[in-house]
Amino acid sequence: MNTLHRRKFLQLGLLSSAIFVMQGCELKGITTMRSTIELLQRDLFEKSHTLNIKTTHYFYNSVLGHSRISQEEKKFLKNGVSWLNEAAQEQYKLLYVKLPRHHREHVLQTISQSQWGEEWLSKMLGYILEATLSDPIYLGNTNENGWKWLEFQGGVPHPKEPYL
Amino acid sequence: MIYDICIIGSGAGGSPVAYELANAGYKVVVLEKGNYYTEEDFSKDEVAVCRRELYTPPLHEQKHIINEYSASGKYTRYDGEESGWNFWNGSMVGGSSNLMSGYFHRMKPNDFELRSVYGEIKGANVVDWPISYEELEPYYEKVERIIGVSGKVKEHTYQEPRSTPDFPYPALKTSKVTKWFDAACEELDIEFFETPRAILSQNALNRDACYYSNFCGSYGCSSGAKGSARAALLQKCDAKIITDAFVYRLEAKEGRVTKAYYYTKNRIKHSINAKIFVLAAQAIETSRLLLNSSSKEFPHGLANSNKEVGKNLIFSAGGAGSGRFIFEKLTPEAQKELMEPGVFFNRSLQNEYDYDDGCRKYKGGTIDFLFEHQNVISRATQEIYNEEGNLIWGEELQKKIHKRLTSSRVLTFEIFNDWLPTDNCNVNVDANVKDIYGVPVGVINVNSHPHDLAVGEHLAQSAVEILEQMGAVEIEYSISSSPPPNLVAGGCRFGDDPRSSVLDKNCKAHELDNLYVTDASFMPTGGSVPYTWTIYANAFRVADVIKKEIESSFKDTN
Repeated sequence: MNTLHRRKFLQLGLLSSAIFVMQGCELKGITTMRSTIELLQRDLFEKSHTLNIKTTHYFYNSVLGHSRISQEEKKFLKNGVSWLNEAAQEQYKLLYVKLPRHHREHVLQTISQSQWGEEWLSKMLGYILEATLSDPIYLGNTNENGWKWLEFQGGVPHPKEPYL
Repeated sequence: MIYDICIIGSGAGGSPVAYELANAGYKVVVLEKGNYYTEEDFSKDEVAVCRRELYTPPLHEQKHIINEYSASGKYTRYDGEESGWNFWNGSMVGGSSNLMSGYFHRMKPNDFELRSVYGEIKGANVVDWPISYEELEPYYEKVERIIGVSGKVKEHTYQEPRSTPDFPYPALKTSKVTKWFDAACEELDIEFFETPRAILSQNALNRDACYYSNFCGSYGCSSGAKGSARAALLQKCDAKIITDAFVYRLEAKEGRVTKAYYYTKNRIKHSINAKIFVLAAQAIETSRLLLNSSSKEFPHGLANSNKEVGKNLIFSAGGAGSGRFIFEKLTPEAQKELMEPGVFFNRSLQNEYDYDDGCRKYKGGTIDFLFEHQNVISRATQEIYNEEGNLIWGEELQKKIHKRLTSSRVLTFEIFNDWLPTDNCNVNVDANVKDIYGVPVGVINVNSHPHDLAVGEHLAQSAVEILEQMGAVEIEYSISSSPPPNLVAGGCRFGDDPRSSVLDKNCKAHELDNLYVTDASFMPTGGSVPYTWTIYANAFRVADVIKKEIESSFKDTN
């Protein structure tokens, strides 16, 4: 396995939703994209979780599954999950999901100083806020809890179906 | 079948012609690239409308090439798809008028004589219009009645002459915060007035009144109150509307357009025959279509023997600014007034529609004040950076979003001044880059004149003073040379001289007997106001010309 090209590993990871974390040609760990995203979203914006908003489901359904988000953007979002784990591996020799809270925070602080990291985290935050504050028809914003939190009334009429 | 009139584009430029001619009994067909949405289809879905661009084509299918010129004359090329620079507006029946905010201002008499009144400006191709304000005034008034304009006329220095004393519909409901604004203006001795809006304040014209949804600009109107070309005109006549019809070529023989060719999304080709053709695809696409319609008889494109098609593209210059009102500085009653949802702000300044710097008189402009858009995802997402410009998340971000959105509100202002026409601001087509239909895409050359920025900067000062007087914090503004894609005009100037204009004073192509252009392409200069009212008014004017033309040709035939 060590002889496989790094890019090939990444492609395999994207297809299977598994993340193969490499250091050079050496495989350092395997995790799933979903578990990394779930934990990352809680680290970035715990409030959505406490409001019972399914941000990860929204991310898969209304972001990665959306016809108007470019393939390039989707690839960047997925690659970012791999790069986050690589950064965790570099700093603490562990996958992101295996780190304690304060180490995860440190990893986030580190990547936010890089160009890709800042761009990726800002996009992930944007999509968390979309999940939390979009019309409930998109299956985020459960029971309009995001709107209630911000004393926002929402717009009427509501959409009859999601635009995907 | 041969239609009497074929109209390409169903927005504010094409629909008045459809309405007038269809209601006069002529066979009218309207070709529209987008879908037909009605009041029942519109919702306040921020994700679909504002974050996934439901109403515009995907850029990987249809895009523009943009060359942005700097002051030195060099330019940077942007591919619309790669850069995300999007010049599409509302691709739908009624066009972008469905999505407008409906801030309606007439141009002033001096706007029709910009060169004569204010003189030349070096590097700008300023000319007078071939018609006067007095010629357009009856049509401005007609728009008030047929499209439906609400407001209250208040005399001020630059109030344009009117043939009626007031608007046909009473003013819309406004926020109590306007009392603070009015008091500030009085204190500062700055003239202001209530912004006229193309939104019905009461049930009328077989349309329902505004229901103060809190989501107006960028969204389709679910009551029909907004005076979109669809709600006010196309739904009030029996013109045949063909959707999913992208017109890619006009065929002309012996000085007359004979056919419009269009593709459906499945790239099936169709054609329409008509006696008269009206082009109103919005300024950039109108020039593109003419340039893409070259033939042996018209080797440089239709109506382009003088190579003027696409030239002197203009946008609206100016910028935007804002100030924030925070609970800490307000009484409980004022806090309640501030957060009242739904109602409009509707305050405008034209106190410096022209101004003097001691040496000469300059053209100024308009400032509209409005509350920050209620889009909640957008407002929350703006908070992800701290004051030092660093990305924040977790508890710090949650607290910031909650505090900013629940205990403060932003009042914004938008500045409109003339975007001076220049040689480097124009439309062309790209010989190599094609859209999904295989048609050469439009190239938008963007150049702004330095004078535009100076005027915007001058105008912004009054707005800042008012916000300061009102007690706002975080007051800021930005005057930009960025072209607003929804405020675009020019490219097919009208004028009396066929050597230097594309259209005659009635917006008929000099070179063709039966081709009219009725979107904003005809405008040599744009005034210092949003264009929609003027586009509507001029299209009603041209509709009268076409009606007379077609009546006389029918008499000749019979």
